[in-house]
Amino acid sequence: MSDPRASVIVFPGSNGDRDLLEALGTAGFDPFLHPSHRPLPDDTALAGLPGGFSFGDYWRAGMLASQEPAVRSLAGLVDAGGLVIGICNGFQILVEAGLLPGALSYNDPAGFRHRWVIVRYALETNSPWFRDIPKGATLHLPIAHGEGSYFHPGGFDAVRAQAPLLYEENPNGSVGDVAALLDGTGRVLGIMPHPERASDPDLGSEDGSMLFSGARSWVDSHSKPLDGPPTTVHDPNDLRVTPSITGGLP
Amino acid sequence: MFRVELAVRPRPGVKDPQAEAVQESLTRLGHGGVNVDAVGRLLSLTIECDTAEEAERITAGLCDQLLVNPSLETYSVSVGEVA
Repeated sequence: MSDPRASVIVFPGSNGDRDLLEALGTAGFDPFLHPSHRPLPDDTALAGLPGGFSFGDYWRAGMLASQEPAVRSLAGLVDAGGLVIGICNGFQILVEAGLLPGALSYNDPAGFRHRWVIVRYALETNSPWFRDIPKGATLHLPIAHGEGSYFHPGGFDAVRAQAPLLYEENPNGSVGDVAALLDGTGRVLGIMPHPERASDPDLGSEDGSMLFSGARSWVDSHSKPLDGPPTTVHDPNDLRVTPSITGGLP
Repeated sequence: MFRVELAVRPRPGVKDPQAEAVQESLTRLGHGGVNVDAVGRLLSLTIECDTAEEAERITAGLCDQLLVNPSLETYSVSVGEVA
């Protein structure tokens, strides 16, 4: 059986797409870059929304990206049993799209934060993303964001059961030290730190790779082989934007 | 045709780190008596419709659908007819 297909959605302004592509490939997925202005291909097993500044973060970070056809097709992927991860700006997009509750706003105190943090796995969950991570484990991951303060009008109690990762030292004013959030299925994960930038010893940590390996083994145990060839032919030249691996890395 | 100015600002009680940062700068410049109450955004629109009420209704729909996050933000609208 071929490796499951993982679609990394590229928005105008994404800059973490290549890192995510690499991490998913290392975990055993067959990853490809997919332009945000098209719905996801039917053979997608996992969709990744990378970090960056989609649409320049205009008006409200993630708001404009949340209306893109690829994002609007995520609900169908989730209904079909697929996996979704939104990292940093990708997390903001998932919240703006209504796939995760609450809101992400300006860091408190204000300012862009980029450094390594420690997050603790604090939830008992069957989520595919956490099947390789023992409860209580701490992960060493980098952050790089200016609008990562998680807010929910009901406070932390409203999302406690969906918050798998909590900051050991809160860098942005998030309610309840929330660093990541799951949807009700456990298959949609929004995470503000960058696991894809901590997925190789040369990067200083490979703790983030456990999220991707967990997702990979879960797909093996839960998906059935495709009956035929992929129904959508992906053309990598169709990207509206040239993915960047240089410059600032929010 | 109506011109609409939509002002979006943080909901009272929600932290406003941008306002705090601007306040710090103004205080450093010596404007100690000036209080920055909120930092928000402004959207200027022209809408083709027949009445000011209709322009307000259309704008409210835009806010509910996309432009305002009710968890964090409130908004106000001013409407004027374009001559």
